[in-house]
Amino acid sequence: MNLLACEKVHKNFGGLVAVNQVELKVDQGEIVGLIGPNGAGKTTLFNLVTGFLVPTSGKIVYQGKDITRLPPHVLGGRGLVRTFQKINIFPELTVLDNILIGRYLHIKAGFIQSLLQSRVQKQEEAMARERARQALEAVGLPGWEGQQAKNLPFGLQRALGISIALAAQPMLLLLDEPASGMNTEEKKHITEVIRRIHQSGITILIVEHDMNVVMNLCRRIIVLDYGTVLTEGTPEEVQHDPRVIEVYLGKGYKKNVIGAN
Amino acid sequence: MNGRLKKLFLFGLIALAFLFPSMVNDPYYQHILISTFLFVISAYGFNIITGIAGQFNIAHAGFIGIGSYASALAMTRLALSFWVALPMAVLVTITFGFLIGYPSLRLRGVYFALTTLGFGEILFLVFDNWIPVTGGPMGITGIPAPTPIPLPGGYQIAFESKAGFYYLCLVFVLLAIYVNRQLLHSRLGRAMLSVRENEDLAQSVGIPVARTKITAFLLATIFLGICGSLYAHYFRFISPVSFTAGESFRQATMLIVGGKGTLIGPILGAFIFTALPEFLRSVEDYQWIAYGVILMLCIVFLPNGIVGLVNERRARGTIGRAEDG
Repeated sequence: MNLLACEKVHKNFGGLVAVNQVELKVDQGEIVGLIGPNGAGKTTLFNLVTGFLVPTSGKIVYQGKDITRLPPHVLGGRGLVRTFQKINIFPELTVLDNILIGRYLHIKAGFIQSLLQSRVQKQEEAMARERARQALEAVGLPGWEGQQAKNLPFGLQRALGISIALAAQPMLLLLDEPASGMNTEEKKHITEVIRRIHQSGITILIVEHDMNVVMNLCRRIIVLDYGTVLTEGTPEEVQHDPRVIEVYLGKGYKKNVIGAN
Repeated sequence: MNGRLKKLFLFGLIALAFLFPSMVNDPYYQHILISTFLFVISAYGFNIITGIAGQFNIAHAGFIGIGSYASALAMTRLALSFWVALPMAVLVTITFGFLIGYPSLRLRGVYFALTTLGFGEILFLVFDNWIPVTGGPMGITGIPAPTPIPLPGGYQIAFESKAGFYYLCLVFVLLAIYVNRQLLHSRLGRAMLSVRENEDLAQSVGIPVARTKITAFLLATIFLGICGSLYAHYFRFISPVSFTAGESFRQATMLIVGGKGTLIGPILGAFIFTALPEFLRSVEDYQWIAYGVILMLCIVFLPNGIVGLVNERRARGTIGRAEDG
């Protein structure tokens, strides 16, 4: 069964068509890449799927249910969690608090119980902290938990952003350019982290400019251009598709350069 | 400082606070501490909505005014006991908090600040012009002290004296600190911090942003109501000039200098701004000049307040160790 399906999803901003009748399906357990040149509508599509924008027309179905008009926090509660391209952390808070915020939905005791210092609340808090520490170790952030998130090096901030999303225990994780602005070493590391997340059973939809990262991770890639799905297929198919080459490199460019950078 | 030493220090401080009136019998110093305590309670309310949840409430002083007038009127006009007037004042303040917060906190950005700016001004005009009820610019005079609590055997706990009122305030100061402390270690408090830091990210991990902000504001107004009521029954006189936007900004400065969104910041800020100038009267002529300079330096060099500076120092220390090891 499809975990996520976009049915004729359309989004206008005034006269500009950002996403044009997009049909897209993601199956349970898949890791799907979404690529396309700047302005192709990738981030808009992400915003539509995660409830930050409402489509002009069309339908978004998740776990067999229509989620088209649901707000982001409700979708988060159903296991549809995203990361952001830019600021992906809570900068002034400690690394540990960043992760604990990600666990919001999985901590049950409310503020009243906290005021009464109930045993349930204390246990839950201690357990949440313990799990957060484990999560930090998993992404290579042990020993940083007391630091303010903004003080982490860039690459680790990205890793923290992903850990926050993981702490929410997603079913479907949407990653918005997780490797942008990274150096080669950091890219390798983040690719490994994402692969491990996928292997742990989480379905992933990933927007990424870096072809190496996408080609390495995904078995299926969807190419978006001018808000429409241009083509989709395996990395090899997409790499050799003349339309894709044209979109990225301009007309008359025959050589297979995409995968080689 | 390790945990046990910290606890000992804290208990010492609380014990000292309880013993203060018997150690220092001078009503002048007791008065300074009481007025500081009133600011401390208000600062912890401010801390919840502005420091922790990051929504600037410009009607801060106005809401204290609502609590003050509600409590004063309940005792002077309706002849109610203080122990009814206080919760009533809190209830009235929360109600206004809900009416203002519910629509404006659902929107993102400056709308809450703008709405509260406008609401604060409206409140001032109402306090200043609704003469039959509020007494207009002349305010309300002759507000009684809190009703004594009768004890078995004919004794009573009275609040006419400075010492009695001091203890009443101290109880609420401790309550305010406790609520803030538990908040910062709870799911709700972390949700508020996340809303301040990054609304989009907060939403994506399932945090209902609007509801969290509104809860923060209602929680804050509880303390503004308490502060207002205590203020009215301590000074026995209230008038509109105490509840202007200017007063809100003054208290915001306290919070910023102390360290917003932290546990120690509000009490530190309140003490620096109310107790310190009084205790430094010996250098009378230069007192306010020095004070102004310190304030400017704080805002320029300590954007996270004094608590922020201490935390950063500590963090730097641990990074150094991590790199060494």
